[in-house]
This record gives sequence, C-alpha cells and structure tokens, in this order.
Amino acid sequence: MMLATADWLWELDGWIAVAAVLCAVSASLVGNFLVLRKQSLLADAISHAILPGLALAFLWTGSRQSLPMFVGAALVGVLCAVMTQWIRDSGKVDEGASMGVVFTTLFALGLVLIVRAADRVDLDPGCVLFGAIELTPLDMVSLGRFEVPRVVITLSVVLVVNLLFVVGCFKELSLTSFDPGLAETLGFRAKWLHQLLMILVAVTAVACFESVGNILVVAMFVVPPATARLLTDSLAAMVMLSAVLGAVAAVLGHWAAITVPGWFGFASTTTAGMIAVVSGLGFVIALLISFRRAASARSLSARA
Amino acid sequence: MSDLALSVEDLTVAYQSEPVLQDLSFGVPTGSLVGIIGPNGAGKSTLLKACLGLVPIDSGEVRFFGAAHRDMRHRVAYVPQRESVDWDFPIRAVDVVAMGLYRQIGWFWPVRRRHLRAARAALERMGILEFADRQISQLSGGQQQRVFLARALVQDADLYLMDEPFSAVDASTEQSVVEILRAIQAAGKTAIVIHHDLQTVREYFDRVLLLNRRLIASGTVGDVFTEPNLRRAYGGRLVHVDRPAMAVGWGDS
Repeated sequence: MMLATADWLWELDGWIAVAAVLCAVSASLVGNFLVLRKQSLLADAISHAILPGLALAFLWTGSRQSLPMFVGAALVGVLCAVMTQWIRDSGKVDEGASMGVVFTTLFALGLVLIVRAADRVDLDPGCVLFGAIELTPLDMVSLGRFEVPRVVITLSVVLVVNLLFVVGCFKELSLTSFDPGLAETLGFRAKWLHQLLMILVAVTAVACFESVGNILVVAMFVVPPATARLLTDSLAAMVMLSAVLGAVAAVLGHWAAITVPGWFGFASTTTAGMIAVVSGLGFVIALLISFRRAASARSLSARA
Repeated sequence: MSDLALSVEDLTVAYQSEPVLQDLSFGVPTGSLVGIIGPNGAGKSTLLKACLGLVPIDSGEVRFFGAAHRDMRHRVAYVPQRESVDWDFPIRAVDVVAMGLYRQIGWFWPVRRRHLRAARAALERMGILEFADRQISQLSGGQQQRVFLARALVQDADLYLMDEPFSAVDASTEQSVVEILRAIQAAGKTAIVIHHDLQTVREYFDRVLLLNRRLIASGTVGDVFTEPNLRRAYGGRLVHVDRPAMAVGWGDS
C-alpha cells in the first residue's frame, strides 16, 4: 500500500486509522442533517456540553470506560439541546446567543470538575480538548479470537446505530429538515425526530470524544457534509459522499500526521488535528470546484 | 355541523402574552373559496398555523369537518409561505412534491416509483413537468410556488389552506393558481387562501374573512367586502396605499 511509508505500522497505525474512520463516518452521517437544518453549531454546543456529564460520571465511578459515563454525557448533551431550545422559545434571546449561554456554562462547569478530578485521577484537560487517538491500540479487549481496541468496538456500535437511523428515517429526516411545518401537518412529529437526532449527536460526540476530543469532533460533524453539499445537489448523494469524504480525510489525516512533520524535521504531530486540517483543505478544493461549476453553468446559460 | 369544512370558535392565540388573535369565531362552508384579507401583522398566517396546530392555541376550538385536526389530517392540505423553507435544500422538484404523500407512505417506508409517478402527474397539472428533475434552487419564484401547490394537490385533500400563493409570482403562475382554485371548487372541495391584492378579491373568491387580530367580518364577498369593513380592517392606511383597489372594491357594492 502506498500510504504505508516506513513509519506506518499496521498493528498500531492501522487501528488508529480504523478508529478515525469510524469517528468521521459516524459523525458526518448525522452531521448532514445539522448542516441542512443550519444548526451546525449545535454539534459544537453539544460536544462541549457533554464535558460535565463525562466529568461527573468519571468522578462517580473513577473509571473512563464505564457505561454510566457514556449515559451521563449523552444526557447532558441532550439537556444542552433542550435548554437551548427552551431559552430560544422564551423569545427574548436568539438561538446563537442561547446556545452560547448554555454550552459555555456547561463546558466551564465540566472544566472545573475535570481540573478538580485531575488532582486525584488521571484525566488530562489536553486529552479532553484534542483527544488521544494515538492511544487507541494501547487499550485492547478480546473479541472471540481477536484483540480489538475498546474504542473501535464502541465506535462501531455508534456507527451502526447512526447508519440505521439515517437510512431508516431518511425520508422523515429530509421532510423534517426541509419543511417541519408540513411534517407536523402530515402527522410526523418534527420535534421528536429532532430530539432523536440531538440524542444521536450527543452519543456520537461522547463516543468520539476519547479519540478526537470535543473540539475537533465538530470538524467531523460539519466539514464533510458541508464539503459534500458543494459537490452535489442530491441529498442521498450528499450523505454518502460525506461519509466517504470523512473516511478519506481520516486515513489521509493520520498518514499526514506521521509523515508530513518528518519532511520539516519535526516529530509526528496530532492525528486528530491533521484530520481536521485535511478535511478543511478538502473543503477548500470543493469550494473551488463549485465556483468553477457555477461559472461554467453561467456561461452555458449565457450562450443558450 | 359537518357541512362546515372548518369551524373556529373563540380562538385566541398569544405570543409572549401579547394576543395575536383574539376571540375569533367563524365557519367555512364546504365548497367555498375563501380569501383571508387583512393588513400586515393582522395574524393571517398565525390563524392558519393555529388551526393546523403549528402554533399553540391559548383558548378556543378548531374543527375540520366536525373533528379535531389530528383525525382529519388526510383531508387537509397546507401550502406554507414560499419563504418558509430553504430553497437551497439538495432535493429535486419531484421529491418535494412526493413529500405530500409521506403520510400515506408511512414511517420508515421508502418512496416508491408509483409515488414519484403521482408527483410527476401533479407537476404536469401545474404545467411544470419539464422541471421535475431540477434542484429546487434552479426554479423561479413562480415555479417554486407551483411545486408547493403540486405538493398539496398530490395529497388529494378536501380542504386546502394556502398561505399567500399569489405573493411575488408571475402572471402565468397567478393564472394557473386561479385555475387550480376553480378546479378545487368544481370538485366540491374547499380552499382558504391568504390574499393580499384587494383588486382581485371579487374575481377569485366567493367568501371573504376580514381579519385584524380580531375578526372584522366573515361571509360572502357581496356582504362582507365593503368599504366600511375594509376601513375597519385596515384603519386609515388603506386610503393611502390602496386607493385603486378601493375603487374596484366599491364599484359594485
């Protein structure tokens, strides 16, 4: 394989790349509908807001791999979405501001709790922000005859759930994203579906949190769908393309993280960061392509 | 009561404890074409949304064909304002029209070929079949309005609630909207339409509902579309803004 440069070790880098791909695909699947609802920032808000949930569950159980931690964080994430909606519906504060109030407050609370927790146990605020995907192969569990990283199992479950949701409710998601009013009059509860989407965003953010942290996961929710949107006018194509773009950026990102710094004489850099950089570059390329397409469409219609 | 397509009793809707609609009571007989007329901010859109349960009702009762809306969803179609959705959404015209069939298709089931056929037939009826496969941002305002109407037609409802289908459309779209309204009435069905152009009220509708937060008047065009009622609905503004309309309005009253 071309990517496998001298530095690429399959038993390590292979698993890191797998974890990165699972994060990216899970996040971009649900991210499509955040982008289409013009609520991309909710991913940002939720991924920050899960911090106190994680911290509380962590303080409670003293371990990082427990189900309570997962549930606690997801609950706080959903709480963030609900509170944002509630403050906005009170009518005096717009959505952006109410989101800003809710998620910074929750994030700050989480930070306070984590710093407090870090005095006693091993939870690093740096990991919180940027994740520790490089540590993926160090925490293996056995699955039948195979040794698989624990993170990969969690992320696989989340990917399957998100896939079932997006494929199973594709029609309902597109209807409620495009025209929630019509959805309600037809008897599809747009609000319930929205809350379900928020729950899955929160669950995905929690699952990806350990690997890519709660800032860079936003790049996984938002950038591949936004890039895909520039390249296609079909919703189904957009969803599939975003998953592919997310996966490609994940693999390229990790490869770049262990290769590119060497060109400049540095030691390797962070994988999560590099994935986000690669995604961003992909977006710029897509933007240039879409400009060209728009220009050629204009010249076509001018000739017609 | 069942000869009323829509009956509203003592409807009050408030937004942040500011009443938007107050004590509205009226009935819409089956088979009529009703124009809802009133100045900006009169609560016309809110009235339609409140009837459909899209905004919460503070008090009062709304009945469609004598029953609650949730039991009559299959008989009521809603055409929202064109500006209420994002026309950059990555979806084709025919897909938007097929959305009108989603209730029949049901949860989780995919859109099938016969649903798309029905959607195309509705687009053909609106005269824009050739644009069926276009992404919706590539349609003109009038074409977008026709897509919305096709989506309502495909629902094959008995009552159509339309929020400003005539706003900012070209003359040929306006004409085809009128034809659709006539066809709806010819089939014994009912349409309630929010309308802005006072000059065409007499031509397009047989009943009028004059609204300005309270019900000013509701009845046949001949009885209700009168200068004193319009003055009560629009206050002094009408005299400056719509003088030609008033002239038409007074002509045969």
